[in-house]
Amino acid sequence: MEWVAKLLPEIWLSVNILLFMSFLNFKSKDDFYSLYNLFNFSLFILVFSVLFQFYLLSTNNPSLESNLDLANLDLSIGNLIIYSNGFFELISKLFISIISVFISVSFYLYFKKGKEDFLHRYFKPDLLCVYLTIILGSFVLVSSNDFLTFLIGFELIAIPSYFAIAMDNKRAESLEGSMKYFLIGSLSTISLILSILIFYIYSGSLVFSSNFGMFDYFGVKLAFVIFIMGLLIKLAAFPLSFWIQDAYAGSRTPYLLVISTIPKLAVLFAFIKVILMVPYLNLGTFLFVFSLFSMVMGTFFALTNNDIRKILAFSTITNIGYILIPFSSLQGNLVNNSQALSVVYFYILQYVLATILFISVLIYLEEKYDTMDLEKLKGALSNNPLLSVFMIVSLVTMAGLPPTSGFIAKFLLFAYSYSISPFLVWVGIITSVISLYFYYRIAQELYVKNEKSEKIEVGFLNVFSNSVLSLMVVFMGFFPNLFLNIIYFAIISVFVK
Amino acid sequence: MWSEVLYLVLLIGVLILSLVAIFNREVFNAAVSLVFAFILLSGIYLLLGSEFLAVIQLIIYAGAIAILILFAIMHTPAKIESLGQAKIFDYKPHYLPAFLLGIVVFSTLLGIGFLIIKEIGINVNNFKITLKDFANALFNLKDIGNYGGRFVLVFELAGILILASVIAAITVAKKE
Repeated sequence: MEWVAKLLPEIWLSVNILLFMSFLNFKSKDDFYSLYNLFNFSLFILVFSVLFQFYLLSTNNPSLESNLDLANLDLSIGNLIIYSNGFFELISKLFISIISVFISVSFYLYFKKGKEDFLHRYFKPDLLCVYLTIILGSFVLVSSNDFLTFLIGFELIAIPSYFAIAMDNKRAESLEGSMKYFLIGSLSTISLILSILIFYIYSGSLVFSSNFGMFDYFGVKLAFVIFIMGLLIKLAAFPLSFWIQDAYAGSRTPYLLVISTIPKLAVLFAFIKVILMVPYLNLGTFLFVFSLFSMVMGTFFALTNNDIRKILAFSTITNIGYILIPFSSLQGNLVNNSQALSVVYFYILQYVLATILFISVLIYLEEKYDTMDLEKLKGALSNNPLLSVFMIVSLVTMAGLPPTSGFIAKFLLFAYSYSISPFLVWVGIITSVISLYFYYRIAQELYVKNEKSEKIEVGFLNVFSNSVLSLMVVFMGFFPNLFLNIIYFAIISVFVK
Repeated sequence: MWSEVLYLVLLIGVLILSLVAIFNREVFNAAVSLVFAFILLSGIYLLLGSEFLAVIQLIIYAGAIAILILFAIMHTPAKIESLGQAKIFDYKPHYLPAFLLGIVVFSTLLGIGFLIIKEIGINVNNFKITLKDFANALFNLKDIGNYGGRFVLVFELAGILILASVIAAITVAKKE
C-alpha cells in the first residue's frame, strides 16, 4: 500500500476522470447542477490529498532544516528515482490544485440551478473531464524525474488543450485555432522526442539524473538545447509563439480559462526544475535572444489589436520575456541565482491569479454580448461596478502597478536580475512602460459612457471567489515574503537532492 | 547466403510498393500497396534480429493504421475529381525556398546523426530489445526493484491519455 500514499492525488484524479465520464453520459440533463457541486467537492478533496502528502513528508522528516533528504515519497527503481515528490513538487502541486478550484468556480454561470434547457450555446459540460486530465498532466509533469514520464505528462496537458479550443465546433475560428495549435504543438512534442532519443543513445537510460551528468559530449548539449526549445514552444517565447494568438482568439472564454492558466504554470515549474538540475550548463546567450524578442515583439503586437483575447495572448508573450531574464545569463553557479528563480516562480503565480480574475470577467461579457471586440464592447462595464472592480484589479496587476503583487514581483525580478544582465532589464522597464497603454486601453474602452449598457447579474459564488482572488493579489503585494520564503526553500530543496 | 537474398528481395519489394503508393492515382490501390509495404518492412526487421519491432510493425502499422487509412478513404465522398487530373510536379514559385529550407533541415539532422555516430561508436546490439524484456518491463510487478515493472506508471497514464482524447474527440465531433 506504500505506492497509494505516494501517488494519492494522481489516483484520485484518475478515478474522478472515469467517474465524471460515466456521469456525463448517463445522468439526465437536470442533474448537472448537483454534478457541478460534486466536481467542486472532488477538487477540494484533491487539495486535501496534497496536504496529506505534506503531512507524510513532515512525519518522515522530523527536522526539515537539518535533514533535507526528502526522498521518502519518491518512486524509485533500484537507486534511480523516476517519480519524485519532494518539497518543490508538493508545493507546486498545492498551488496548482488551489488555483484549479478557483478556475472551476468560474464556471458557476453555466450550471445555475433552475436552468430549463442545459444545452448552452457553446459551453459543454464535457469540459470538466478534459479539465481533470489537464490537472493530472500538470501533476505528472511537475513530479516526473525521467524523460518518458515527462513526455506523457506533457502530452496529458497538450492533447486535451487542443480539443478544448475546438469544443465550440460550429465556430470556424475555434477549429482553425485548434488546428494551428495542434500542428505547432506536435512540433514541440517532436523536438522533445528527438532530444530524448539523443539522450538515450548516449547514456542508455531515461532518468534525468543519469543523463544530466554527461554534458562533456557535444551531442548531449545539443539534445538539451532541443529539449528546452520544445518547452519554449509551449511557453510561447517569441520566435516560437505563432500558435498563441490564433489559439487564444479561437477559443471561447471558459476554454481559454483552462488552456491559458494551468498548462503555463505546470510547464514553467517543469522548466525551472529541469534548469535547476543542470546548474553548470550555461544557456545564457540562447535564452537572451528569446527574452529580448518576446518582450519587444509581444508589446508591439499588442498595441494594434482590438480583440481582448489577442491582447491577452501578446501580454502573455511579453511576460514570458520578463520571466526569461534571470535565465538569460546564468553564469556558472546557480545557487547564487536561486533568489531570482524564486522571484520568477512568484511572478508566474501572481500573473496566473490575475489572468483568472481577468477571464472570469470576460466570461460574463461574452455570455451577454457574444463578442470580444473592443469596438463593439464600448461602455459594456459602465453600469456594473462590481465587475469593474475585478477587471481593474486584474489589469493593474498585469500591468505591474503599485498596490498589487504585479508591482512587487516585477520590481524584485528586475532588481535581482540587474546584476545578471542590465541590458535586458532596461529593455524590460521600457517595454513595461509601453505596455501600460494597451492595459489602459481595455479599461478605457469598457468604461466609456454608453446608454445601451445593461446590468449584468453576477452569481454569488463568482463574487465570492473573485473577491478572494482580488484580495489575495493585493495581499501578495503587501506581504510577498510569506510566499517568497516558502518558494526559496522549495528551490533550495531541489539543489540538495 | 539465403537470408541475404531474402533481404534483397524484401528491400526491392518495399521500394516498389512504396513508389506505387506515391504515384498511383487510384487512392484505394495506393493504400493497399502501402499496407503490403508495411508487412514486408516487418520482415526486414525480423531478418535484422529485432523481433519486438517486427511485431509492433505488424500490429500497429499493418493492422491499426492500415485500417484507419482504409476507413478514411471509404468515408470520404466517392469521387475526388481534382485528384485524378492533378499533375505530380506542378511548379509554384514558393516551392524553391521551401525546397532549399528542407535541404538545410535534412542536412542538419544528417549532420547531427553523423556527429553522434562519430562521438560514440554505435553498436546495434546495445539497443536490442526482445519481447521478453518488453513484457518484463511493463507487467512484471514482482521484482520491482530490478528492471521489472519499470514502465507500469507510464503505461497506465498513457491509457488515461487515450481515454481522455477519445472522450474529447467525441465531444468535438458530435452534432448535439
